[in-house]
Amino acid sequence: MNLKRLSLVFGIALALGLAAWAQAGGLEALLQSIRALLGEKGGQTFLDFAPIGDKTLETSVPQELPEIGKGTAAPGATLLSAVKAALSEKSVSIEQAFLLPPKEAGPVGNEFQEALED
Amino acid sequence: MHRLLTATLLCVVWVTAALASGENDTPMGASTVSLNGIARGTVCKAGDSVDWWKVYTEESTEIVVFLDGVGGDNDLYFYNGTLDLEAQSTGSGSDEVVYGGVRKGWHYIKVYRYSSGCSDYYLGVLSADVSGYLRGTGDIDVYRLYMSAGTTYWIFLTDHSATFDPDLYLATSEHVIAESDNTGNIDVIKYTPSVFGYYYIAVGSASGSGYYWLFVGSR
Repeated sequence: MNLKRLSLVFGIALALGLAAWAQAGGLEALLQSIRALLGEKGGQTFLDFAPIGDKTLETSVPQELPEIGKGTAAPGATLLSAVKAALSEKSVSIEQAFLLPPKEAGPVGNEFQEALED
Repeated sequence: MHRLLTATLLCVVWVTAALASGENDTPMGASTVSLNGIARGTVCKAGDSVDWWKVYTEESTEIVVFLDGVGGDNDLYFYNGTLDLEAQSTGSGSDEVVYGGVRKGWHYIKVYRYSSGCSDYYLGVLSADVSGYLRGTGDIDVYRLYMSAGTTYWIFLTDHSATFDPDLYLATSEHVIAESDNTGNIDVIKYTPSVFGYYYIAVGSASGSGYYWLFVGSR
């Protein structure tokens, strides 16, 4: 009886020890991966950098994003003209990693729209 | 005695294997990602090719679900609360995105490792920070955003119109530093500023008029 109890306690202790070891090992590996990820991706963008044109200003009132930023500094005329220029010089669609075409046709696409509740 | 030890060892092996492959391999064991949160995970073709996540929305809203992975080919699937597939993004890279309107409730997300090897990833679920309307080609809305140096920002712009094509710009007070002019219903800019301060997000109509939704996530 005592031997059984001892075996049970030993077994549970072993299981808990192995579980803790697996978690700690996995966590360390994950942390290393994330560190590498952060190192690799610093400053990376999925964008192109468009040349700036000088076109006539068309004003637009700046708005604060609801959760971010305080105070106001209106965008300069240069900014708006640069955006205007970029809009009119729309280039061939840029290949962005997030927007690559699907490998194979699936039953649904990227966009969904759930019907509103009654 | 031997039976007891064998059973114990089997339990140990099972527990170890379960922990090593992750606990979110099925919808039942889905990990929770908070709305407007960006979680991280790892998928490996061998042994842990699927991660399940779930997110709760407290009301009907527009959302973007994105997967920002490293290396190889990951896929993203989006399900409603009864696990009906609603959208999928299965491009040949490691980054994927789905978007649209959802009702209140739980939603499930599956991250799948399509190619060999492993991939660490960020998974973000963002609700719209703001929505707006552009009145015809050339109309521009401008938003201001304080950005921290070294923080990565994901900025998404979506719409649901076939005749409206808004584009997305990130700028300083004078210069456009990044643009996304995809012709579909979604644009994205990912940017990690090296200098903190105020930046401008501009949304302009390349053609047509319509409603748009703007999302900003950071980590």
